[in-house]
Amino acid sequence: MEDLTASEITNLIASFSTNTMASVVTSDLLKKAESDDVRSMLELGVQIAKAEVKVLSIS
Amino acid sequence: MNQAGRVLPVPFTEQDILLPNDKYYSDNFVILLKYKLGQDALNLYVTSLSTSTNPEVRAFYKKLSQDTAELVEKCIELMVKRGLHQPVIHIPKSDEVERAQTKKVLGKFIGEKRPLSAPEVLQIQNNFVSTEVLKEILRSFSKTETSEIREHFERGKDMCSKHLEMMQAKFEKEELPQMPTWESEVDTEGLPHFSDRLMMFKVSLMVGAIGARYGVTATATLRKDIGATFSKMMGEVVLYAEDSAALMIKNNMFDEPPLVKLNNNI
Repeated sequence: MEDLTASEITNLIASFSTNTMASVVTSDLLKKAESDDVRSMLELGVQIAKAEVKVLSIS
Repeated sequence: MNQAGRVLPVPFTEQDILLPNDKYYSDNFVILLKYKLGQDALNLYVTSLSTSTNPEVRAFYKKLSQDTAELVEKCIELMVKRGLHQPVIHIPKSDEVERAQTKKVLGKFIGEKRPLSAPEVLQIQNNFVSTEVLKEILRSFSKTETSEIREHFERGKDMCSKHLEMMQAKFEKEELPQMPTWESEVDTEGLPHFSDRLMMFKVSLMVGAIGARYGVTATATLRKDIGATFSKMMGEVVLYAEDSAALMIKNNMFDEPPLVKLNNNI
């Protein structure tokens, strides 16, 4: 893979930390949600965060 | 990132959730929180997309922007369904566009001002919701047992309360509806729900986003008193953000960003 530029590194590092947090916290909120419509919104949130972390940590 | 030979920061894990069986935010507050975080993330992803040159990185952020836009839309639908988007402020209709004839449109610091414009109402309302969500987050985080971090969160909460009053005051002068607050929607009793590192990280992200938002409002509004109010609030947020970073460094929670030179001794 080509070397990454300063802005790419900055953005990717920020995305990684933010989304490991988002995936943990959103999964927890999902577990505790009371209504179905909120659950469905949170499921999408977890899915986005997990997919992002997965892509960033491929070795 | 690994393919490009870059080190990733230490991730957050389930260990950072301390009370996995307690509900601490109401569903309504969860919707508002995800809406605001989604809004901030969307801004970040679009910027990331437009500042990257690597095609793989751009494709990654393009997909993320699309997915996050969908999430934000879901949140908005839920907010409308539950009336969380209230109050809706109506702007009277006019038949034609009027050219400003005097500098009165720019307002003045002292004395009678022109009524708020539609963009100003939008900016103040959007900022109010963001700051209110951060205030409730700080309130719920103030349960931490580390006294220095608790004091920092409490100070942030007081700063947010003051900013909310300043924004509300602009609406009150125009006899516009009172903006809602959500004190009863978060649990502030008992033990902390998250690790200090997670809470500090979340707060520093949200504080950064709020500082940026205030800056946009200060430059995107015409009336001088609004620009001045938001510049002042932004200054306070910047100082608070700096103290957050200092506290994270002191508690060994701060990942240093990559520098343009290796082996820096400063």
